[in-house]
Amino acid sequence: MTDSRRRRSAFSLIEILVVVMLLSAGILPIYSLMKSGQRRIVRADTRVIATLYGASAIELARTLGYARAQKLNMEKDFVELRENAAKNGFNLEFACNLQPLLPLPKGAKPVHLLRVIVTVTANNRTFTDIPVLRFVTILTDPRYNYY
Amino acid sequence: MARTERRRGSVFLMALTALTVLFILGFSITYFTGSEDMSSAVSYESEVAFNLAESAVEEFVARLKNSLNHDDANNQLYKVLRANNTKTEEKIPLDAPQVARLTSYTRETAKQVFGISVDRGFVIDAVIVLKHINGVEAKSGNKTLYNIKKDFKEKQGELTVNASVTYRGQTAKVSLSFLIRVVKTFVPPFNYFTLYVKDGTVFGNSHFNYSPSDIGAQAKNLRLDHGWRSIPGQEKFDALDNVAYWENALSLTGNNAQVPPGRVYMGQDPEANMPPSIILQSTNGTKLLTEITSDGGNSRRPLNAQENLFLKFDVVPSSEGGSWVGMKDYVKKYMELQGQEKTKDGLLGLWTGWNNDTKVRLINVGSDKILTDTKETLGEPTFGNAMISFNNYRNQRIARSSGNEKLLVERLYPEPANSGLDLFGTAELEGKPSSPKDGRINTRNISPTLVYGQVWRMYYRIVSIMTKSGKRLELPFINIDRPADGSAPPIPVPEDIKPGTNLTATQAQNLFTLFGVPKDHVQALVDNWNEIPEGLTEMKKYQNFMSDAGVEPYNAGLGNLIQRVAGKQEVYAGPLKDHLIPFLANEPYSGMPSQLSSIVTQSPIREFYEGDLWYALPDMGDAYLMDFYFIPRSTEDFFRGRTTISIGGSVYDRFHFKYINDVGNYLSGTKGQVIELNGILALNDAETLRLNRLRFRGHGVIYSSPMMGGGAVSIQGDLFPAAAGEAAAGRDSNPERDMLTIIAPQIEIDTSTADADPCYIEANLISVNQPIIVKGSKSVRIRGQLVVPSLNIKDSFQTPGQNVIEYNPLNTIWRKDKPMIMDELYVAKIVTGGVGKFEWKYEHD
Repeated sequence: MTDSRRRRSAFSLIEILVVVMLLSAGILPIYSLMKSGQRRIVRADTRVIATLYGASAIELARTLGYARAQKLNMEKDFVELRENAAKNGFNLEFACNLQPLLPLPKGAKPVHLLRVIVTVTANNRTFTDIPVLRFVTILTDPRYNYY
Repeated sequence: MARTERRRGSVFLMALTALTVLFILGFSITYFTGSEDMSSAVSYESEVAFNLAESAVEEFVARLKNSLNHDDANNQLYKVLRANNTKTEEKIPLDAPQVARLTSYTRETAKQVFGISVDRGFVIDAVIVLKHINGVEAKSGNKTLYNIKKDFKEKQGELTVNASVTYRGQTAKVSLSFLIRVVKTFVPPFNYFTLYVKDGTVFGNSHFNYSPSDIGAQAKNLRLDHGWRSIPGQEKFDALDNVAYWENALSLTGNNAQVPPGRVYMGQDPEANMPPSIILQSTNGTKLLTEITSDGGNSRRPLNAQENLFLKFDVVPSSEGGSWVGMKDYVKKYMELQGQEKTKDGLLGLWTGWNNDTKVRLINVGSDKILTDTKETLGEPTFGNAMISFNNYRNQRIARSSGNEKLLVERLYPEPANSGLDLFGTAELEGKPSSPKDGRINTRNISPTLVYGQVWRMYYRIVSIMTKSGKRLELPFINIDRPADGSAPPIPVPEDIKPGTNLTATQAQNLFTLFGVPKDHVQALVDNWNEIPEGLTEMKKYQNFMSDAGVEPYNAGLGNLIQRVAGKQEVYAGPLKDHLIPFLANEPYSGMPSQLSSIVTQSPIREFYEGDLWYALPDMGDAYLMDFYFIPRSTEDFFRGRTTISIGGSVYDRFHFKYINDVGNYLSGTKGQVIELNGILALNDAETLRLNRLRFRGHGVIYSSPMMGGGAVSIQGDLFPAAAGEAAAGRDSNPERDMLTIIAPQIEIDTSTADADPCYIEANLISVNQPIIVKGSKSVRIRGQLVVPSLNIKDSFQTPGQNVIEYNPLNTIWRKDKPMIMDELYVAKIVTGGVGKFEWKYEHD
């Protein structure tokens, strides 16, 4: 009997419970690791794409030059870029400032520095720490040759 | 039993294995996702750092452009670039505070938007290495024609700016190197001159004496104003009130020399072996007329002093009663000084053969209609009685020629009524006088200066005698000599009239009639022939005394003026004495009087230009010599075809789009648009550059290269500094001290569309191959300098009335007295495109 029972013997409940506890204790942090990994992947993915859009927008502003970059959001290429970004869940915002260059000779045509700021935000992302990326460049009027 | 024992604990092992796998997997995911996250962050941060570094350089360049030509207390670069003792070939770091100021907006942005510490994360430095721009030496074989000396203020160099921006540990570096040039925008040696005429001879197509004057009213002429009133403290300069001042100012040499006054150069080919042959007639011959009823010192009036003030003193000494001098005294004291061939003094100078019973009066006058027209007279002397015969003789001389030779002879022997160019300004008659006493002159426009080159002033000596019985007779011009070349005399004289024999009254009547002396005057001479001293009835001696044309070196007129103002009837011996010796030059020449040596070797023009001034403006075949000067100094892009046709077929001019402030308004015809140009722009497009009713701003040179096929420049309407304002009265103000120089194969001005008369052009005009052409319905006033290969005033100034060239003192005045203002004439520019390099270098961590 004893031998036969011994031959049928399986994992004890205790063993099972211990194993379940062990597995539970092991999987929870692993889940957490996987969760944070997923977040990192989403963030990295977001940042990579956002950087691509932002860099493209800045590059576009520099290519278009001082005069046209002031109305970048009206430019066809920028509009296309923004639409493309929107399809991929990103929002492109454009802002610019003109900073006067001083001093100027009396009566001379004003000269400005143009600061272009492009802000890229991700839409519909489930994580809260998705970064808002800003890209900045400063342009000057290359046509203006007085000085 | 053994199998059961072997299974025991396997669940743990399995669990542990699974856990291990999960842990490995988990950590791998963590590692890889972390790495991915970090690399995406690095990518973004690097992008931000790069954009900021690039922006910093962009801002640096923009602000640098501004500060290159704007002086202020903190602008180290402005001073370094203009210093004449800056070390070359060495790295000169820019002050850190200045670099910080030049990138302030990017710094502010970096801090505001990204929180970057401008102390640690934002490092920018700039280094400049300079060298001098070479001078130009022009040679013909082994002979150096001229040397435009190296100007130690002019430089070119490479400025390198390095921007390094660190954002969250990511560093981006951007480096930019570009060429900087510092060039002067006045053009030596022309900057010293109000007027430069390379070839002033009639053989070189110059012609100055074409316009008739009529008792002071000059139908047309070109007047020069050398800018005395631009000298601080001389705003009310009047040459007659300030004689001592200008006499001393003009005598200064070397570094002490004052310019203004702008000077005048009229050259002739130094290799042509010609005698000095540039002749300018003085204008207006009607001064010092006397009323016959009260002929005395008090009744004479300087009716028309213009240019006559520059002629030798008249022989009407006050010591002799104010009007006449005895013939004996005249021969002894004055004859030689008046340029006449002195008759022999006789034994020990005591017995001259002349006595003082007959008296002489000599009045030197300029050209005027009154010399050739007896109908126009304001009293005695009647100039026509003296000089109509001279004009007849001239006409006969011309009549013997034909074609081009005739034209040359006409110009070589100008009509006594004609003149056209006032090198020393004018003293205009204010209204035509009805009598000798009512004439008034305006002396404000007299403007003395030094004339370089072999230039003569031609004038007329009107000689009268008063016989013992008190009869006053002008001595008419007669010439019985055969021409030196052996040809027939223009007016052949009867064979019985020979030198050395005394003429009878009948012979004299025939001779004077033959020469066209007015009939009434011939009769008067014949009626009084027996009262005329015996010596004067002999034609050889008569010709020494008679009325005639005279010439003297042009600069001698300065001494004459000083003597006239002082009321002295003697040769000038003041501080300017040696300057007036023929002929003033910038380079020692063969046969130069020794008194001129130190003056010539200390000519202020030699500051930049050593050599004969003739070579300064190259012949058409040597036009490339100008490129040697201007191309290394060019600060603007070459257009390589200024006119461009865009898609759609519309034509536009790159010059307009690049240099005109509001090109849209300009092209739609709105007047008063502004050329904004600092630096030297070389053009190589054959298309005429039209400047239509423009203003300008900056210190610029437009050089349309004759060698590279550059075209003419046509100025239509006014052209003056934008800051001067539109009101005609304010145009001279030039508060920003802007200056424009235009150099082209030919320059044209059309005055018709000018706002007012005169059309006002404030620019230095250098017309290299062809003389300037000024046409239109209004006269012109050019404030600057005019440089031409030759000058035929009739062809060049096709405008009505008096045209004026007024020296612009910005060309030189400030060099010694106002060095800071002189520095403004040096422009520093970043040179790009086809002229210089502009090199970016990027580096990411």
